[in-house]
Amino acid sequence: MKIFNKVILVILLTVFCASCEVEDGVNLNGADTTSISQDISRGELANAVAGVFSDMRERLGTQVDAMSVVGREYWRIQSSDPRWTADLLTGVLDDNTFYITRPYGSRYATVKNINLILEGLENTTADFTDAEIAAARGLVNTIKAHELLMVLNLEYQNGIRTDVADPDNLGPFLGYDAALSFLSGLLASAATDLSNGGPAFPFPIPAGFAAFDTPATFTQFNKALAARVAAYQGNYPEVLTHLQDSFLDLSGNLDDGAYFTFSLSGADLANPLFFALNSTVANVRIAHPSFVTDAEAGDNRVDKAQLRDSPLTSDNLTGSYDVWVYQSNIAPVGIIRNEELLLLYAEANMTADPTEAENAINVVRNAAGLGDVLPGTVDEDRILYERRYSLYAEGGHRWIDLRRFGRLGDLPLDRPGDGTVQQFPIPQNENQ
Amino acid sequence: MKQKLPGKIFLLLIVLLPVLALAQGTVTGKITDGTTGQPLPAANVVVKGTTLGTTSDFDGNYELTLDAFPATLVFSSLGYAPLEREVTQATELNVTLSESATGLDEVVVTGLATSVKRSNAANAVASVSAEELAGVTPPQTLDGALQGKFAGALITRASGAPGGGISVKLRGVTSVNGNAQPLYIVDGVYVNNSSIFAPGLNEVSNAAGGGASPSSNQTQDNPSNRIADLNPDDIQSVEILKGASAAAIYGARAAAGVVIITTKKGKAGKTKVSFSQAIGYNQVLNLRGQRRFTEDIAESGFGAGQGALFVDARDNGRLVDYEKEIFGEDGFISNTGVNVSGGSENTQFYAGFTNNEEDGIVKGTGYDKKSVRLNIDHQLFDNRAKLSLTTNYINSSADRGFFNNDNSGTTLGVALTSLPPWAQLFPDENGNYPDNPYGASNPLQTRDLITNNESTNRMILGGTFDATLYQTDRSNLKVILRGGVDYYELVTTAIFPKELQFQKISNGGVNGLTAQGTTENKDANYSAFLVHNYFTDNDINFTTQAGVTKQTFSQNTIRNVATDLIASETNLDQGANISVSQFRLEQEDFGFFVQEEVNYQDKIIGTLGLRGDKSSNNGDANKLFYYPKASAAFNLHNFDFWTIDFLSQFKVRGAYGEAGNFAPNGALFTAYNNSLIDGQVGIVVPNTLGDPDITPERQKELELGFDAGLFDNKVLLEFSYYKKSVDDLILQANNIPSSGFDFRWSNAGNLENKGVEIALNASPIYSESFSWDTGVIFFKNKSEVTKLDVDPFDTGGFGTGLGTFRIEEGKSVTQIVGNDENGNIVVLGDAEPDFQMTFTNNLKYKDFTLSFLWHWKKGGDNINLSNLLFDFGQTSDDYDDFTLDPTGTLSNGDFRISSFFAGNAAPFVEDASYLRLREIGLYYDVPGEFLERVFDGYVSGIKVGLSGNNLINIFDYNSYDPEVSNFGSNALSTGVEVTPFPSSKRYLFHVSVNF
Repeated sequence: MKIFNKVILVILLTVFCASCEVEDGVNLNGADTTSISQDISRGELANAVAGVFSDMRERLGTQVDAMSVVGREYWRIQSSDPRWTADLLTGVLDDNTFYITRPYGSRYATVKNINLILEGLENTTADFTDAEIAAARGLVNTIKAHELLMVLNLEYQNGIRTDVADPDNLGPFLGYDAALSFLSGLLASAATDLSNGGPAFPFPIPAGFAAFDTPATFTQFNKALAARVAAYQGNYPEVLTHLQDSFLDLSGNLDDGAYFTFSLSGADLANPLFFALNSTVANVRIAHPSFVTDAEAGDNRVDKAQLRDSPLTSDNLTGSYDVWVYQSNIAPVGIIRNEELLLLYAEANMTADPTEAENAINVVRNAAGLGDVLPGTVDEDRILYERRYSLYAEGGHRWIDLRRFGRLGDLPLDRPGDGTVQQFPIPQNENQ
Repeated sequence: MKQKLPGKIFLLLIVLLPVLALAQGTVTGKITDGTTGQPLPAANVVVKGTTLGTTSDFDGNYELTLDAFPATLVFSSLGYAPLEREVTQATELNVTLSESATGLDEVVVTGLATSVKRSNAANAVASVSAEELAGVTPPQTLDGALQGKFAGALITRASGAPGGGISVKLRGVTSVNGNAQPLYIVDGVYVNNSSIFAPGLNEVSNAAGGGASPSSNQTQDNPSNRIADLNPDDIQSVEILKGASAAAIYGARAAAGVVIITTKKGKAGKTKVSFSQAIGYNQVLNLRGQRRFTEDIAESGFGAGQGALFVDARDNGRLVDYEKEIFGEDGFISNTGVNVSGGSENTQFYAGFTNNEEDGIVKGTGYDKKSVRLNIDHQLFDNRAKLSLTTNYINSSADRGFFNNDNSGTTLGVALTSLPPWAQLFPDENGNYPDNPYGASNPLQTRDLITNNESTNRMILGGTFDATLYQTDRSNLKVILRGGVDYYELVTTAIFPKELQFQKISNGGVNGLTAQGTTENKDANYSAFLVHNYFTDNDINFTTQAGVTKQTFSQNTIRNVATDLIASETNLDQGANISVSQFRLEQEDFGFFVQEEVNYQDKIIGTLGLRGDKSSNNGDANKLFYYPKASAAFNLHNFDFWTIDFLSQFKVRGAYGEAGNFAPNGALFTAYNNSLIDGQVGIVVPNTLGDPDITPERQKELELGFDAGLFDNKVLLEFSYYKKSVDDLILQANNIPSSGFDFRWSNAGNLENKGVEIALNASPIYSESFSWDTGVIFFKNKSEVTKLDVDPFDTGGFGTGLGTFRIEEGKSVTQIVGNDENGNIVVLGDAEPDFQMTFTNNLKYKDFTLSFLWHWKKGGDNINLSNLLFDFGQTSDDYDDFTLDPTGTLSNGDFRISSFFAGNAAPFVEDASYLRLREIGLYYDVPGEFLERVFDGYVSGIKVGLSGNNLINIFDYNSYDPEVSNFGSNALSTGVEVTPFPSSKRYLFHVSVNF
């Protein structure tokens, strides 16, 4: 009878269990990535593209700081994180520390956003026209090239992965030259897509790209990037070809171009490269003293460094000038500007057409309050000087430029034991 | 004749036996308390070997009708030694029960609905009584009060900030990225122990860089954990099931152990009123100290001109010890408690009110808690059924200051690191604070003007109905229905007014920030059990239980941050920029269990059980995961062959069980986060790739041990060895970052903990006027990652240059690795202590009681980054000493800095051993005759006393306290220190009166 009771009990329980269905859990806090990759709708495309534009700015501060510090444009001092003035100045870099892992991961996160969109555009059942799909593909692939170039700038000869669509089956690392070729090709195919993209994008374009808000004008941005890539390849004829289709304008405003924009509202980001004047050791960017001392007299670009009320000493580094390129926490940060295109134009013409090179250099110099260069003096040094002051604190140009001209040895070392960095290590988690 | 006598007796028996056997009769009597002589209500009287029994009434009287004589009656009551008496006929039998000295007779929980006498338990279930929990000195929080009270736990206070934030790890680390905190059950109600971070803090401190992630809920702002809400004064007993071998029946949530809390209940009888008041203060436990500055040091460390400023300040007596200025407050403590209990034969109640107020050692910090409890028990249907209701309302408010890691120089802790004593930061006569030229914030201003408050309104309700469905001599069947709700609303408020140095626009600030987080949490649990008891003729007892449980969890957190504020307004709509985020969690679990327990004459006790669980948090919500258990205990001293006299008790026991641990919420999904640019809302991928097929972690634990009682159980020795493995470890492991995801969830490893626990309790002296109880506990644990399917990864630190935890196959789970001086990654330490020991003593002389608890943690390393930050700020107290550099050439400060620059993390890993006098209390009971004379019987007891926490601390650790955790209570990585809120010691005076 006892056994019988127990049997009954177990049966009852089993029946009760079976009848108690639990519903599958759902994520209540956001859309799943498959909702984009499996079938992107018109509304989702706008959100996903806005996400790409937004994500491009993620960890921008870390990347620009890291490249500017190794290029001795300025010192980044942060009392709670001494690695800014240790690793980056001694040149002994760690492959699992924020200065490489954070920018690296963030750029690839943007690439992931783009790859999900590309997959979604393949699978979409929404009523997009072919032109709209081409326009979208052209735009996101252009940005993908920009993001990969940002990583390549850090990794240099270490190379980068370019095929990263499948997290479980990533493509190989391409060496520096191969990666540049890949980017050049990616930009070219994006330009083709843009040319088939019809009159308008099927989504809004943020203010930082206001000058490039149609497939046709966005092509000018694409070509500007292509010119930069070609310059890094040392292929000057191609630089000139791309510049022709870019927004290069010898009589235009030097600041015309594409920008990262910032705001303080909601989930938007503030400009990470802004600190107030006279900030303390807690968080400050101190211009490298050589930036001020190396400047030609009368070069008003030196105002990008402002004299502090009092010098600041930290970690055996003493400086008197704050970096003052971004003057508020919502100031935009240039992605690529007419000033850089002019200098690329000058560089590419340096040997082929020195007069044209001088013309371009003089546009930049005159804007900086300086007189024309002496005819026949536009050489590598001249290009490097103008680029140093024109593109100061805008993305590590100084370091990249000295590297591509094989002149990292020119960098000033401030303390015994300091050294130069040729490239950042591949993050440990890449398991290379 | 002689030869025939047996025959005659035999004949006589033949005749009489049926008469005896059939004789029905009633035994009546009175049960009294041996100590007080008072009647003992609600004591149990049971016919041995049957379920037949009754309980004594209000006046201690009982009446029991027996079907047969002779019979053995067992008299028992909680806290008293049981008594057996044989009766041969209907009679009056008065008995006196004396209080149990050994604790062997107390019951411990083994199933969800049943309990077993400790002497029969197959596990070393730790129990902490009300007296042990809060009797020596009143604890601030329940989990803190468990420290040092039982074997097998590593309990760490994350910071000294008032209001909790405590990590409890039972028998080692049981999960790396999943929940590693035990499940808390109070009177059958599953109580939520979330640590929910407040918005606004990370926005200012930027400690987590890109932002605290709501899905991982890991921050460096030290939110308190919600167990802090429970009032220790209401607790009757705490039982701790330390691993799966004891907790398997709790199934899928029990892998980190279960803490079962029983609150106080009323007893039938005269209404008792008791009032207690404690007042006192707390003080910083230890200060780091100041660097001995000279003009040269000031000049070289702080730059040109600073030497003169130092000299000027020194000569004019204006040097300020800012450490004392910030941490030097004596925080006032007041604990008031009133409780009333009593009841009639059918209905008993316990009502309690407690008000705790405790100021912190930093001005403006403190913790207030009000707790109201009403517990009611009602017997109905002729005592065949009982309804128990427990209700608890808690209102708490904690002001926690602003500490720990930051990347903006704004926390009080980080601001102090670079602040020299000649800085002049006091406000002028108009209350304007000068900007701190040595850092981003003026810590005095920050301390005085900010708000960082957590306040809770919480209601915990539980109800149990148990009824005997049928009862015969040999068997009975009970049904138990239970339900509980834990509801709370947590409001966090963070206010950083615009006057703050770092909020000023001219300093790059956002012109004031106000933030509010609101969490509504509702957890509910329901269960139904059937328990069947059956006694055989030869005294074998079968207890069968089966039941079903259902739990639902619902949490909704809305976080708002507003910046650029209007004047001194703090409402969220009074700012120019407002950001909102929301995090929701819904979960539903369902489980069933069956358990069979066989007790063979208290000699062999065996248990088999099985639990099945499913949950909406699993990849397949309707897949049942099964968790079996089996255990056996052999009371060798109850066997006839046992002849070792001095061993009055000897039990050998073994238990095996399995339990689960859910994947953290969100681990199943790869869900977009939101973004905004130029007013356009967007979606961006998260940094962690989800795994839709994730399964719960499974813990398998084997525990073996013995309990021995020597010399009439005056000495009790408990020895346990355990080995527990955790399979299918859920890891948020590193992922190849070029995939777009820095981390990915997966079931990707196994770990193992092994350890021993030894507890020795003795009552060497017991006399009328003097008694001495003493206890020693020793325990140690070793862990190992036995399998890892992903590459080794770092977690809970700041990289190998500063020391980090690393999960690596074949290594300790809590190993700390870092670069050595040659740049190789080596093991620098381990957070796991070598062992822990505690020493408890209770001395009673006449009306005086002295109790104290020493706690020794030997070994276990911390990553101490405070030192380095103070070095960089040129202010560390030992900067100019020469004790670290093996070559003796560099001062300590220079040595640490140069080590850092050389990438050598070794100097930052420090031994965190300590020996501390956790609790001490001296009490005096005013003699009863005196009270009788003065108060005419209205007052039954007055007790006065002095007590303290952490009064003596011995450690060689180079900061405030080795017990610290920058990453709060939930992470694997307790023991990382970055400028925390220092710990404190407390001094209290008590008076309590019983009416």
